Amino acid sequence: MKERVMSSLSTRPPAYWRPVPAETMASADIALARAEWQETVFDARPNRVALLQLQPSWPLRKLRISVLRNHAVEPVITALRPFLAYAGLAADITLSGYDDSLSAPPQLDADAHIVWLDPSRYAAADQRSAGGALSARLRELRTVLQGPLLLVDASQSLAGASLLNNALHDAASWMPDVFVFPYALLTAPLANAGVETRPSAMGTHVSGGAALLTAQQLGLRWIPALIRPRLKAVIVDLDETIVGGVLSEDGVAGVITSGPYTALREQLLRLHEQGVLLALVTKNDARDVESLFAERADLAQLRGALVALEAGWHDKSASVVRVAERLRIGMDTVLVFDDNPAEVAAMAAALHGPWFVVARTPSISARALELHPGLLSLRDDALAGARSADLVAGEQRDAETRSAAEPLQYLHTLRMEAQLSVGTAGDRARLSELSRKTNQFNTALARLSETDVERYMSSSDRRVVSIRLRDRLSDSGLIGAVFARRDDDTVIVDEIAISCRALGRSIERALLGAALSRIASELGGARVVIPFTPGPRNAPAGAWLSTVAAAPDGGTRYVYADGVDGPSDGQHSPVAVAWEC
Amino acid sequence: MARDPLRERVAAVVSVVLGERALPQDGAETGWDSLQQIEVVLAIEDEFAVTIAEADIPRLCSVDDVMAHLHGVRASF
Repeated sequence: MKERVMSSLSTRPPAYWRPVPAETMASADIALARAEWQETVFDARPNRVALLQLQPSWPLRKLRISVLRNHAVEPVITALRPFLAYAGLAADITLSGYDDSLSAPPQLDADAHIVWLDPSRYAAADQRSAGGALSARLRELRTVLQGPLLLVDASQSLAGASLLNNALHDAASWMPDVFVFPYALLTAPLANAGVETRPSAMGTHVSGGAALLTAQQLGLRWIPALIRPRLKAVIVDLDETIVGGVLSEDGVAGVITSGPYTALREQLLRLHEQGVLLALVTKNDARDVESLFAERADLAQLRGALVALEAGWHDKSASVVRVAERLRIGMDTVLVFDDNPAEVAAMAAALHGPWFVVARTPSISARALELHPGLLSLRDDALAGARSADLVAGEQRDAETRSAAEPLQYLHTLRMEAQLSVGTAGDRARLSELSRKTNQFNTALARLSETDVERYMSSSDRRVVSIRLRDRLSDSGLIGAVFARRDDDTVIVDEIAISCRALGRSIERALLGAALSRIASELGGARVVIPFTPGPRNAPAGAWLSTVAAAPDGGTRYVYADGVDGPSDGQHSPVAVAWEC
Repeated sequence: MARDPLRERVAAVVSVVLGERALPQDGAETGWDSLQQIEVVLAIEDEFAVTIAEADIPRLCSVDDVMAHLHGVRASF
């Protein structure tokens, strides 16, 4: 096969590659303009010409992607741009030459790297030694490349696919920021149509149909997931969105819940199991809505998964705000589904933050729930679904605390237990997630990757402490992290991150006191310094710092004094702290 | 010159695929390299619901070539 030289596709941008200043376009216009793309980008059988005609009119964030490959991936890359644009991204993509040995990554400091090998090109070689060499090379690449690596696995119909796929999945199982894109699984339904029958002319075994499905998945789900935190909640409308018809007109017995609405609910429940919070906001009489859920058995499971329900005739924007406040999440982590474009425009104009889908049909909504940027979880998280239960418990906790005559005494009755541990490899993904997703109690907003977290686990002059929390109402899981390093005689606390689910229980002082005391003891510094980076929402972290540390420079660098020798209020704290070794 | 709907459709597809690299109006000039040719072939296959044989791909170097090929595989084009 003819070798092709390294190329950068950014040198020939399509017409829509032009920056749009954010201030020139209102949020409502953006929400409605994105909605016009839904049918095309979420199509189960995307059409190349229709895709390439799409031109975004909203601002795009630029990023750099490096592709290390040994075959023609251009059919995918050229279809990627509209999907990325829907996600608000514009990629400068650099391709390697056809590089069987993965010896020349085209861009070491790209925001993300894709490795895509056609195993049949190794068919003449000793497959076992090729598999071993690939594993070794992936280890080397992980050390020299910045940014996450996405390894594309191979269709089982290709010679050598099993060995390649084994090496890729092994790498992703233990290397930080390394993930496998399941090309084989994605294209399996295409059967023979997924395999290009003209590989010599097209330079690849990826068929045109497979290329479009791959571009759709990469652009909408995988690349956004590599570079942005996951969305936390999906808020859905009721009428003509998760049920057919209008409750106030058709009545409890008249709304449609079968057919495509069943698939839509199943998709919502899948997201719930993966840790996405579900809420309902509807302009309906609250009693009618409760009657609907009580009387229609096929809606019972969904009702159980909803962590918030706002029904009434008031403004929907206000309802969405109330839901976000109850869930303690930022508006930019919310995806809203509503069938009414006017309501979407009104909410977008008022809220400036959420993502929106205009729920024109239940099938489009189901596809959007499957494909929308921000909903993919890159790592399996067995405890993700438990976070919804923890949030519900949190509401009970908050309500009981508010109504208690002695709130601190009430907190003691919760029998809170915290388990602290010096971070281990099993916590790596969750610790990175905490750093990237917490906004309220986050001292530095460092947004640490798995690779960064690994450095705190493996270096003798660094430490990371994991904090787990449970009480009589729920097991909150791993809710806190402290990252620190020794610099001369000083321990620098690079970041403290605590999940919003654990806030409001008067436990920060005891937990962080214990963690900082242990870190100071192990690293041996004479003093502990906690830099603080003010952000839009991390005032709670700054407020806590000001109670336990002095800031001689006026608030960006705190010298911690409280409880270096142990938590000062340990005997009064409502939480029992224990170390796991 | 009489309007030719097929030519307009093929030219539109090529224009969409190549963006700012679109062909001159007469369509006779070779306007794409081998990688762009792959893009054009995939888009033509999508748009016209045809499969272009491997041996024919290298011959598709212009809008005229594409039109001739389409006429060859289906007279109704």
